[in-house]
Amino acid sequence: MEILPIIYLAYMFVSIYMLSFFLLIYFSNRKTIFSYPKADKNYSISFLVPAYNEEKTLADTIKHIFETGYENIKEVIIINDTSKDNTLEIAKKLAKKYSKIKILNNLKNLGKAGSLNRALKIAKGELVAVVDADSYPAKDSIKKMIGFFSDSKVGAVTCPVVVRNPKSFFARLQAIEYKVIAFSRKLLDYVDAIYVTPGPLAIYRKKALEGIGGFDANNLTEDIEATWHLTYAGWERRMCLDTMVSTTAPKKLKSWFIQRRRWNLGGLQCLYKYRKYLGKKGMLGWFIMPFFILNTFLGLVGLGIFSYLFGSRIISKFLLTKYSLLVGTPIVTFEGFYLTPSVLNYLGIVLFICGLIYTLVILSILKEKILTKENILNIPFYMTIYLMVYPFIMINAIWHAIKGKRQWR
Amino acid sequence: MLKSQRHVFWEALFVTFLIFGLGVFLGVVLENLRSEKISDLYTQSELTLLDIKVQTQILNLDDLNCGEAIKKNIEFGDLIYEDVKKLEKYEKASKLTEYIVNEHKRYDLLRTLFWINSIKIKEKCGNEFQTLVFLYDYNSKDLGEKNKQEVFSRFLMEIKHLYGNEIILIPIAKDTGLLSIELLIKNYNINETSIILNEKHVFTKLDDLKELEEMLNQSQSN
Repeated sequence: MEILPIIYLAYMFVSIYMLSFFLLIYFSNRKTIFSYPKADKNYSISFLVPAYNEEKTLADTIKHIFETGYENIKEVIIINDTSKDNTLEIAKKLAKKYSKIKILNNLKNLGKAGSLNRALKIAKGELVAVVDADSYPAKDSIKKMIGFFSDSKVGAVTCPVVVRNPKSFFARLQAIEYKVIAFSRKLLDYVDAIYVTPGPLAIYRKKALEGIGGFDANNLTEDIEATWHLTYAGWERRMCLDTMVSTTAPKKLKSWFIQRRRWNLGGLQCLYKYRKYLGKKGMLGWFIMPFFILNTFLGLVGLGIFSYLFGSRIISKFLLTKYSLLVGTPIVTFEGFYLTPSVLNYLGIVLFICGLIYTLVILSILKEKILTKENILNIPFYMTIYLMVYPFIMINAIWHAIKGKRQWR
Repeated sequence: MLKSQRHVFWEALFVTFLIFGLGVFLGVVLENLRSEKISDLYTQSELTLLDIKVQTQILNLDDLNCGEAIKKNIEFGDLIYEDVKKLEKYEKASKLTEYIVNEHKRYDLLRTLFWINSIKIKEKCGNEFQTLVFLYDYNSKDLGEKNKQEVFSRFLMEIKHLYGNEIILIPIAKDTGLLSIELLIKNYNINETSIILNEKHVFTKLDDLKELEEMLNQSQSN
């Protein structure tokens, strides 16, 4: 047997495993997937809102935080990280309107993690909610998320992040992606394998955050790092699927690419930082890290094989055309279009259909209208072209990591 | 509550082995079915060739009906050529098993026998038809060589369409490790993809194909 079919089969095995894994979790927990526990007490919360050039969205973010109607908000700390626009002025205006707002104005740029750490030092709440300054928590979000902290082992709680007003084609693709990610993350919750509490809205037990020394300012994805650190420290991370936070998704391909590259770079940094725990230390070493490594490895190998096959095909077509012109034989023949499907083709099709069904099931559970004119095109496009770009971003991220480029704004 | 669900990792593995195993099993069954189909075709072709060979032996005894023997020989050439096209399609789609590779070897031997038989008929009945033996590498990985073979193959198909029953096309893989084939091609001192016209002229380069075409044209006008 040749090497390529073996690699294809290995890919299929892993894909079938992941699909079975998620489906088994879903079917045994489908009745509780949207449920959330009631809070045993009225926890006090400090909101931390780091802001860098967020003049357009900051006011709405603050408005949404107060509209959550949570009774025991200790304070909302806005950290202006040397914005070059009117973020600071807007924050000051908001402070006049809402008495619980505190402003921290960084004199030098500390980055998101540094800004959060600065605010963490003065936060008085038992819980700390991090909210990105371009994200809007849903009205019921805090009330629904807070109950998870009744379990003293829980260190962080997250919720689905959805794309706000996905009107363009590109935004709708990201909206599908965010929903698939959110749902899959909820399924991972059932096996204590949540690997990120994303920046748009995450609530942490302050004691837990302090215990890990706050956020890592050297990591490009402080939310992933904090989650891994909490996992390592033995804290559970939970997710409430019955609420959400909406966020601004990148509108242009370039900004989207830069965002994803940052995510990948941050993930690689985490892998490097925690490398000695691979295969040890509970879910971090046994599942989260291998899961990350496998994803990266499969993506890169897949891209390598794709490039090899694509390159070979191009060279082959070039040679065939050259030789055909020399001899005067037809460049294209009817037989060239005839394909006898192999068992790998059949397996690939079955797997694609299963993946498609999984995506459709998720969207339907999350009350997305699937049979719309737009989604008929969007979903297949997402399943093929959009997901295929992931490995290219990973390659770019690795290249950046090697070159030592870490800028992300 | 969370820890109690970790059995799902093993359950998923079990389900995966089941689905994956079933998929591979069905794949092997499919490839076996295709291989059996080829095997059936081979049996038919083998019978036909034996029939033709017997006719050739009869020619040795008697001077009867050369025309009929030539006709049968050409028809068999066309039949075996169609079989091989089907075999090659299945071969490309065969990923899990190697049964079909052995079928290919059997066909190569059959075609070699057919070539020898054609030579004998020519000896008895004269050069009423022309044989074009296409010797190629079955296991070639080199892109240049593979595309050269593809162009040779397309060229020969064009020739066959053009000349029809005046030509017998016999493609034989020369690198399958079959001693009889190796022995036969040793006479021609061939190491690369080649076409042998009427057991006399060997063409190995793409540039040579025009010359081959001219020779065929000439022989037709004669």
